[in-house]
Amino acid sequence: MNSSSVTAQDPSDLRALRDVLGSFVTGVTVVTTIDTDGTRWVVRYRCHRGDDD
Amino acid sequence: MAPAGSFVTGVTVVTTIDTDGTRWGLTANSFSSLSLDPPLIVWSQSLNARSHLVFRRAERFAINILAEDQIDLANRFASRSPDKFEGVATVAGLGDVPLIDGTLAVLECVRESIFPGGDHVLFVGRVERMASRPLRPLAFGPGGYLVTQSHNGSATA
Repeated sequence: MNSSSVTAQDPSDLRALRDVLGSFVTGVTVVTTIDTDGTRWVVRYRCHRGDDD
Repeated sequence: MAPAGSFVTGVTVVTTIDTDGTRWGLTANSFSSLSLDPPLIVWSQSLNARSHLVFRRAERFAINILAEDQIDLANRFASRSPDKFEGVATVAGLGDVPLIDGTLAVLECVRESIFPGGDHVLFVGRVERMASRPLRPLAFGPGGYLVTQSHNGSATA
């Protein structure tokens, strides 16, 4: 049993939500594709990040 | 090419309660955040899982994100034990869904939608309440359970 104090947080608080979700470990991927013009696209993705960097 | 198992994840126990008041839970690492606004998460379950019909019918579930000292809980809820909750400290959350004590974080969710995914289904949940503790996460990856430490940021390739 872990005795660390629990902190309740409001899911509508985006910063708090991001912090709690960020406690889940993930690997890091780079998602790639190519469009019909031959341009290569890349998105770095990890938890909560699906935007072009 | 590395297999899917090379992707490191945290470890969760997803819990719910059925209409008879029976508590259900399973270990899952197929969890991900989906949306911040609205607050949505997603996890997937095999169609062959014993608890699949229970979760398909459940309106609520909880994602319990395990701390690094909770390997025993991860193994217990990954087993076919007849009573996975025996001896496990829990509190009743929203809708009486059992919340496991001592976890790194818990997300209490109402089921938003279900999507087919081959031999799995995707459960999307809207987070209604959440809590966390300042603990280190349990991780799972190649070779089994892992603990995390910060990367020093320098290239190793």
